[in-house]
Amino acid sequence: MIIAVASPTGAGKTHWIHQQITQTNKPVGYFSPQTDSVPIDAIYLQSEYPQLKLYRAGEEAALNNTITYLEIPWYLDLAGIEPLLQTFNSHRVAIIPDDTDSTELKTWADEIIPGDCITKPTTALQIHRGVLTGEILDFDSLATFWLELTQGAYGKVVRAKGIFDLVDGQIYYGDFRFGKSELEFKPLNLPRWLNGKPDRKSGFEIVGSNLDQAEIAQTVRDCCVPESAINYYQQQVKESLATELEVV
Amino acid sequence: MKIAVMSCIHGNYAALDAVLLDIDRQKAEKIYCLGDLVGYGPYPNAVVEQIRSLDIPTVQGCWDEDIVEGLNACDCSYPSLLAEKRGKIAHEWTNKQVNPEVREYLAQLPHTYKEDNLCFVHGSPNSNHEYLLPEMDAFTALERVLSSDADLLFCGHTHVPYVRTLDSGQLQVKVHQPNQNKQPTVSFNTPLKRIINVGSVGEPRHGRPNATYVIYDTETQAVNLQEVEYDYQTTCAAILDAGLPPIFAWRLARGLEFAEKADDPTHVCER
Amino acid sequence: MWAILSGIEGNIAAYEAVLADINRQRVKVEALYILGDIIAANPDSEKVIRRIQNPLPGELEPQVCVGWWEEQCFALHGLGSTAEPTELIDRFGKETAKLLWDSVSREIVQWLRNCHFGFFELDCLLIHGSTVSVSDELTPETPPWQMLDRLQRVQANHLFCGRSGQVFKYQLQGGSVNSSVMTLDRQQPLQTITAPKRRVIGVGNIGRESGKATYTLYSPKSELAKGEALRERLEFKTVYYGSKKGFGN
Repeated sequence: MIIAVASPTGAGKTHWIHQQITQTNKPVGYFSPQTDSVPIDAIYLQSEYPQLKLYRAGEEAALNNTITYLEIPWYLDLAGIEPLLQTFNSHRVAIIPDDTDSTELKTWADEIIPGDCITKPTTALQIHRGVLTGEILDFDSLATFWLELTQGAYGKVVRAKGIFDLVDGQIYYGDFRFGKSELEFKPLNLPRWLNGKPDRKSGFEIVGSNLDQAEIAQTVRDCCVPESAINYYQQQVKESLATELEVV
Repeated sequence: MKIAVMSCIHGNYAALDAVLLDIDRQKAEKIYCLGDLVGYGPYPNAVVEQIRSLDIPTVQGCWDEDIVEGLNACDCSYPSLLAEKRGKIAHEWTNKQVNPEVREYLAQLPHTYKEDNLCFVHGSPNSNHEYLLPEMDAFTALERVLSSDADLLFCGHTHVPYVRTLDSGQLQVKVHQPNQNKQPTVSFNTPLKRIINVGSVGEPRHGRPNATYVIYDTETQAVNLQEVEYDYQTTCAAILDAGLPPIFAWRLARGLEFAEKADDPTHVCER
Repeated sequence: MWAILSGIEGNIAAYEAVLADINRQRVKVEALYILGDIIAANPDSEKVIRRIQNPLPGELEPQVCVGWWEEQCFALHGLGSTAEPTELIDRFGKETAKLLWDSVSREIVQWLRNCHFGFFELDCLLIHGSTVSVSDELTPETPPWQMLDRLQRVQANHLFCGRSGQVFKYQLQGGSVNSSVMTLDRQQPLQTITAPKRRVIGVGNIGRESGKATYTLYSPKSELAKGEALRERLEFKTVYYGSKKGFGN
């Protein structure tokens, strides 16, 4: 069984899938086409549900082994995904905010769910993606960058999300939607990485207009701990974790 | 007599100009400056020349010192890698711009300046890197004023202005030394002391782009925190023209300091 | 119980006398702290270092932190936090600087470089000068504001120091201050802040005065197995040794 989920950017696909997973005991899978380089939503969902089966590109034939949520990124053409949906018995869910008139999605869907209101872009949206796998970022630097980014220092941002390996060994999830005041930034429930460069995936995705991609890339680079210093920081974290344990 | 005290101009000439005009309007008779004339902003030479031409008594800020002695800040005085990177870009740019007379002038600035019961410092009497934040422990704050041997301690460096009143300070002490008679408990008392942080002319971080400084009346002892609007867009444009990082202009327009302050405000680098 | 010493200043006879005195204590001394100034412009400085490096069988291994003289020595060798040994020359002149240079070999300097700046044990800070620097001299006459500042910098309840060479117990018994802050946007209400009870202890000096050494014994308050508390103990010791030069002549 495939449950295909589509919506405009920032309307709450991952959030809705998250809710559905909590309500079932059956084996559940997740697949999001063309997100393998920076699988932000997949990693986030798996940190919440370790038993979630993640499918990658090339594993489409197996999608039917579980109840599989197929999250379709907003920038993908629905027609392009159609052959895959035709192969299986699929249920199509569109999440559409009240203030959005989306004829294409409405015709496509079997089921329509009201979504989070989003700000309609006046200009064409761009996506800027950065792969950070192997990089460790400094927390205070990232906090400064994230604040600047979401307040418009590098162009108008309607959506920003990312997963970042930080100096304390934890991987953090950041999620920003324009117009929503709460800024989500939290460590994911995944093991700490304290032995050299992390070989798990991390990165970010920014959606907006007039994005200064070069400046964004440079600033993120400036937030990264130099390779020569990684060991030093990790040693400090290990020592402080050891002391904490002693106290407990 | 009304005096005006300002700090942290950081090469922002338009802001300095507006503040000098406001000082004139307030009819202050004397002006003092608490350093950081240069760094981050696009007009380090012009700012120094203006301060010199007006003969304003000035103490040396951490940026002035770094331009003279070479970048001396340790990692710990930068709160983050990003702030460090930006600080270094600003330092290198400024270092290339300042002319020899300006460097010479900055080199001879004193760390503290005293007049009657007033003491003027950039950071604290201990160091021009120490932050006297308003939430600092009251006894620690009191100790800083007492160590300056003044009743009023004027400081800057944090870029957010405030007046802190410390009153009726008292401590009881008992000292015991062998071979001496038992000493009674002695009570130490301090009269009213104040710390006046004058904010920043050229790089405010109180959430608005306006320049801040302080007017103090030596007769009535009244302190006024002045907030002055100016055309910050001129400075923003000059930052971009000078080839300084565009993020400096963005932060200036929002009243966010270019680099965030260090976590541990009392930390003083020993290097 | 801890024995806390400072200022041997190259006086090997004084150090031997104090070690013997520690050995005679009825309550067993479990830790020996030496708060700097092991050396001075004294040709016997290296002898003291060798003695510290090589305790006799059954003796404690001393825990050593750097003091004012060590810091001057680092400056002489270009290894200090200041480029020039200006403090040394200002206080004692160039001949003393020369004598210090001659008294301590490069190898010993390297060993001293590896010593700590101070020790933080339980709620006690053990250090030569203070949390500010090795030159910071705390005495019975130091204003209480300054004492409290030095204590609060590290959140210690007891600060043991040796720079002044004096033995004293300086107790801050309490106090208060009223504080209020006005910012651009608001006036914070007046708050009364109370001072904690804390203490600075001068641990004495071993080698400066010929024939007489002072040091400190301290046992922290501790819980015994049966649940009864063992009271804290602080005692200043004076040791007379050798020919009592300086007495009666």
